[in-house]
Amino acid sequence: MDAPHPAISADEALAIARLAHLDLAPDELARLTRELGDILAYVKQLEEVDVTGVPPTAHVQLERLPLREDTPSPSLPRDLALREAPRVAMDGFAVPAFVDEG
Amino acid sequence: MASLLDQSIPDLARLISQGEASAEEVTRLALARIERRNELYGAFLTVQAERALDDARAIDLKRARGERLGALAGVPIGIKDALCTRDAPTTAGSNILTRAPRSGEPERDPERGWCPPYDATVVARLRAAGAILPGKCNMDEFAMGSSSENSAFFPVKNPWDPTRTPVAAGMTAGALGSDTGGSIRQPAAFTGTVGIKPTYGRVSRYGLVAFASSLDQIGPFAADVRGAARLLEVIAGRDPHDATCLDAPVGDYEEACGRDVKGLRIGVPEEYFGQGLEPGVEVAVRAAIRGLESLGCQVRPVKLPHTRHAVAAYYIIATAEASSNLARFDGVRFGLRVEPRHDLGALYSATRAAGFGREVKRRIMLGTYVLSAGYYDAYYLRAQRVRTLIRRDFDEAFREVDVIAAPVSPVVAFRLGEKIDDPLAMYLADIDTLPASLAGVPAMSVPCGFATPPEGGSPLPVGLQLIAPPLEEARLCAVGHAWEQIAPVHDVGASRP
Repeated sequence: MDAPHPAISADEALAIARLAHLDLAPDELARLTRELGDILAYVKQLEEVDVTGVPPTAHVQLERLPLREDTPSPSLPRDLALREAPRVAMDGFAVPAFVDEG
Repeated sequence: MASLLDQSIPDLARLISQGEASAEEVTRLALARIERRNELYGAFLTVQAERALDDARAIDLKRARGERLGALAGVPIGIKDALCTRDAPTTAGSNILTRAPRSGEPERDPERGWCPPYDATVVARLRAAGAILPGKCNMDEFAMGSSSENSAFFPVKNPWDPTRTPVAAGMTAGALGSDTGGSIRQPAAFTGTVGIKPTYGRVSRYGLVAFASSLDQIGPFAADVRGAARLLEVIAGRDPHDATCLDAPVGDYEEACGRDVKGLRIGVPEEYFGQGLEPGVEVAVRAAIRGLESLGCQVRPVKLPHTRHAVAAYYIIATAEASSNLARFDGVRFGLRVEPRHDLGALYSATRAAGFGREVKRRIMLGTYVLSAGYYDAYYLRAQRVRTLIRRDFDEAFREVDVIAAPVSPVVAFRLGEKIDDPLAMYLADIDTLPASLAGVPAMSVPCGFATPPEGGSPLPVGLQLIAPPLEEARLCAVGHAWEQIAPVHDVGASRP
């Protein structure tokens, strides 16, 4: 389809990258902006489909979800949960401070 | 050269259970083939040779003591690296699930992959059935791709032609994969093996690194339909650890192999035989459909009119779900951590920028875009409505027919690098596998011959896709097995290069 690109601008792509927590180099961002534009131009074809009154399908689950018995069972031990953490502090996952207590 | 490993899985398990072959001998054969062939094919990311031999000797010991052995006793099975294994690294083909290199270590190495605290349910079920797990299979990063060249470590090459695409053919008797938009059926077709994508929810996904949760499903690869059927029987069924896993009884898939298919109604959707279909693929698939007719099946046309919108709907839905699932990779709990400065946002963004590859970033960006304010209705919600129409196409078709027969892919395996710079062209090659994924119905790829690629060269395998209504995997096995008995490529294992 030769429809004009649904204009995803470099600024818009940058905003999306921020939402997605991706720190992209300028050339990477430029390439992704172009590729997203191409893909969005392609998926625009869905506008041709008449979906009036058609409910959305969020999943294709065949039956009601079976519930398991409500019986307590042991959780993952702390040392095992922390075993693969790149940084550990005070028996927990270490992260930079993100609350300003000042 | 044909060996024990080229036996069908049920035959191999019987030989081992009866003591005509030892599990250790079969495991040594598998490990030797992996050792010899992996450098060329790149099928395995990591190999757990010692543990596999220990497990094999334990099987032989059990047999010597006269204990009852499981349905897969001593059978080597490859495990896609998206499945958690408590004693082997699990990377999902991604650098973000490996810890950062220390000085002197190579930049990228799957051996530094995340070690999960538990086995995926399917892995636990394989072990309980006596299967031997020699290693973890290479994959596109987070299963995103159609050629396995998106692995963060090295590409997978097709044993039929090492410049083309994937699977662990000939190194193990079978394998487990996961199919989100075709990642079991397409590689099975490209490599001349059998692959089954079960009904959505048929197999537990506990311990599968998630890509798109409304689509992901685990399933088997094997050299023949009976082998795939036995694997499916072992892994299928309710699991209290996965709330999306169905309670419905597991079928007699292996017993269905050999069932008479006379009178079954086979639907042929013309939408799958249109533009873009390579002539050699069409010839092979139509010949297979005539073969089914010769077995007494009634062949008739069916309509699946929304097929052409499957690629667009899929790439919106799958990337939206992926952008959400992949938010958990942030440098805090496992894998890679890049911390340019003492700032939580910078930790997330720098870790994810360094840890994810090109295709994964592309899909996270697309998924984030279609879910973002102002675009949600126009893209995501609309795609979900189109998904309903695609499901209804199948509902309608299955009022008229018992099974649908079509190509698995419009093309034979393409060359590595051929589509890597053109994401859209790569996505369009998935057109024939996406509709069954979106509808959640079971589908199988079974070899149906060879076709010469349009640019010439040696003929490559073609897959026949069989699609059935929900939970009718046994019917797929019956039809696939019946076709196998009259197929021109009878013994794929022995003729494999």
